[in-house]
Amino acid sequence: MTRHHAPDELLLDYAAGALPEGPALAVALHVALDPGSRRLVHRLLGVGGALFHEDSGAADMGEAALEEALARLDDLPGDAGPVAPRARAGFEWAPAALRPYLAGKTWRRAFGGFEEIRLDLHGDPHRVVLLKLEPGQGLPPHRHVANEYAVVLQGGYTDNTGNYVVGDFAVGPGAQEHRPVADPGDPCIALIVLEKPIVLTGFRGRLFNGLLRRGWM
Amino acid sequence: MKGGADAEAAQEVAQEAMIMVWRKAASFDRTRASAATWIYAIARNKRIDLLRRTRPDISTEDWLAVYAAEEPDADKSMSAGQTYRRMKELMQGLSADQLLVIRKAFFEDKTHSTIADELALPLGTVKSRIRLALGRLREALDREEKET
Repeated sequence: MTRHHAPDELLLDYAAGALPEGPALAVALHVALDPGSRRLVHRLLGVGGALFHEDSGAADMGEAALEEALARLDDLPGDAGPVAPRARAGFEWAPAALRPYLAGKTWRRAFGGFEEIRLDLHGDPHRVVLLKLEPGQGLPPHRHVANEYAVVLQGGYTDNTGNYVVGDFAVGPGAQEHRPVADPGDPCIALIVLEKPIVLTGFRGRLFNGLLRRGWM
Repeated sequence: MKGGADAEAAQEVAQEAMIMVWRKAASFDRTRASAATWIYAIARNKRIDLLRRTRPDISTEDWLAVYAAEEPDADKSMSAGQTYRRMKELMQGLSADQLLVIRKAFFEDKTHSTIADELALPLGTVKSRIRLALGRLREALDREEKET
């Protein structure tokens, strides 16, 4: 049961196609797993369609461009419909939108004892990472200096803002310190999108903040 | 969908979207979406594709792949009551302030925080306009779906 939805304004940004790749991926995964948010995005696409039809200021498509498009249509084969990329063994929990990012990736042990996979974006400076926490395992206490989004893909976690399960979307608590701990059951896997590096707040953690800022950890 | 793209790029999006509409016409499912919703979704995805042209193998070509539920039949008849005409009427029911923000998002591809900057409004004001507008939309469509 999903209890934490992405905020309306973020779903609007997503439906309008305005989000950078990292946040767009987080919202896409949430939307794939959450019927309520999916419904809203679908409705917003309807709003987009309705607005475009009434847009009297829209530029006309040039005649040459139309010619060209029509000519290209004659050479096209039919289309069998959508084919989702297949999930790799061990990555069955990954929704279709995430699968292309996982090619060639493996879990790696990170500072803090949890496992991670860093995803490569294409020109978007957001940092996107998959984290895997064993039941009862926690992240070092930290706070955020910029936007953070998280989507749970397997298991669940709890912090001082609540309990998050598969499909839930969390917006980072900002300057407030938090320390997420994985729930009992399956290991918790979550996609995390960071605008800027986190700031570790524990005594030992503070020693590492310089490395984090340089992207070494 | 005009903002951020020059005329040539816009034309390319229009061409590509048109070709996609043609190719996918057979798989268009009216129990899932109105035609306007479907075409908008295709154009939106084409534009994102072109902006990220350097991306290897990550295709947003299929809006179904982008929005699809993980189980294929989860969203049958999702669009009950969501016709093109009805969506236009609902938009007309919004306040000028609310409509401005929604239009800017769709026409200029701007995030709500960029819109807040541009309009010199506090972020919270823009968020609450969006939430009010979407709340009305949700309420009206939910009510109609219950009636049908």
